[in-house]
Amino acid sequence: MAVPESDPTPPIAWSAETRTWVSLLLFAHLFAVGVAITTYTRPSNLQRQLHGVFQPYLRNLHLTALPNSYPYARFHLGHAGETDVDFRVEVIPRGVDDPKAFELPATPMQPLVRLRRYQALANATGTLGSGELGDAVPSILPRTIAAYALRQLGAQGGEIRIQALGAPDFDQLNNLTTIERASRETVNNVYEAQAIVVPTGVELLRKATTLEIAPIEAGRNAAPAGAKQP
Amino acid sequence: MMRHVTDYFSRLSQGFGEGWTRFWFTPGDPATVSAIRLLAGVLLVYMHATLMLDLEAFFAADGLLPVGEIAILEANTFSYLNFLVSPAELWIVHLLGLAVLIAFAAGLYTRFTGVLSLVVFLSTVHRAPMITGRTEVVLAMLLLYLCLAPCGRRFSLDAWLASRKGKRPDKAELFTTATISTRLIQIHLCLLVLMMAFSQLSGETWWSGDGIWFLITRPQSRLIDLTGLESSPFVVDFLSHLLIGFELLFPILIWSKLFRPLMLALGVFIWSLLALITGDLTFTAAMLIASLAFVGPETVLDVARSRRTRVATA
Repeated sequence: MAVPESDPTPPIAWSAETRTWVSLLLFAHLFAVGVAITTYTRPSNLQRQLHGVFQPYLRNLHLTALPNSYPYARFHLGHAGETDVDFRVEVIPRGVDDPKAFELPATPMQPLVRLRRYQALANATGTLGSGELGDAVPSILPRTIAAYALRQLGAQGGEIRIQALGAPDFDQLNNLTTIERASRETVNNVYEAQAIVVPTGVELLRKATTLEIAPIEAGRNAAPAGAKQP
Repeated sequence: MMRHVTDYFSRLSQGFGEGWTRFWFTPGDPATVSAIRLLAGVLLVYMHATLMLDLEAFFAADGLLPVGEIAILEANTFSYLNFLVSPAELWIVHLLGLAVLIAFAAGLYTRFTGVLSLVVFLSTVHRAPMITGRTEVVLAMLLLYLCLAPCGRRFSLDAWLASRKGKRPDKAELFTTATISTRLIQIHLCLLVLMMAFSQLSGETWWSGDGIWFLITRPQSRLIDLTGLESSPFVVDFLSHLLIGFELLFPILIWSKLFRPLMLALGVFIWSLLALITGDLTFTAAMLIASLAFVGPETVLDVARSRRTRVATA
């Protein structure tokens, strides 16, 4: 083992009683961590119940990746699901002289970790907005983003649109070429709403769920040859 | 027959007890945890410092993520940032947090700044979990375990100040808490890597060898465009299977002295490859830093000594 490999092995310094108590704490902690980690993929009811027991400990120390309201840390990297893609949030203002859209994430952005944060926010917004995780929370982030964007743009209203970039239809993606083409050419609108500024903030009037597939403008999202930011 | 069974369980419990004690409680040199503190601290400082560029955009009352509106997404976790209202308060507290993280990375009052760094880091993560990712899960684990260890004993201002006062650290000074901390990092890292493998294998794409390709084709995320591999589908399949194979084997073979260097070297390749195709540089850095827990303190000290000699010679 890596740590105590000096030769000869140094003597154990702690008393038996101390070791017993520390062992108990170690066991409890590792059990909680084990529950958190095995719960990440397809948890059983028992695992969920156990995770619930340790939840305050695990969540406050950020030791669990089990989605609470959305999967913020995708350790599976991608299953080609509808939300395993990058999202883009656009707010198009209405009634302003320069109707320039607010985009999230705005590119380019340096250092790259900033872009990663904005992309994470866009992805969380898209995942929730797609309704994959239930109807309770899809409009929370679109509302806060729309409010921020309209304030920045000085507009009284507008439209917010969340787009999934390259969301594939897995059944049709039977070879690398079609997957690559889908990633370049496909944009799915997963959420669209009218945003209206009211005295208490911003209200969203959501359009019917849309999943139409539209071609994007040439070059807009095409992958340039060479370096590309995350 | 019953006696054999009783004897077996008696030997089993005795062997397990001795092994457990040896594994967790043999005192160790704090060089490894100190090196992890230094590197993880630098990464934490970088992440906290870059957050300054978007501090008000994310955290201000009129920012993208106002506390009241996103509370339901925070999962009842504690963050002192939830109690800050004005931009001035935000800036003051954020800069104080940065100072704490810099002190921790430099190894100044490490016992104290270690715990404070954990509070600073967790408060930032809990304030806006939707701008976090895989990196923060690894860093939270590292920080928590570093708080248990005397990780300021080496490569730190604490050690430098002590040597100036004439208190040269005893070369043979060993700590049980250094071993416990290192063991916890090792086990937790193995569990995380195994979780990645299992979660990837729960879907179709990683079995079929397309998993890597889906990452390569994400135009927003990747650092470099590897879509040229389209003409070499076997390479794509191989990389997908290599990643899964590594994740499945790492938690087992890393415990073998013979395979450990190989797994660590393979880890550098795999995590770097992931950085290129997912753009997640900080996650790669965090995984490489955590992997240091498998490098013995003697090796860490040798590297530090040879580096010092090279600098002195230059």
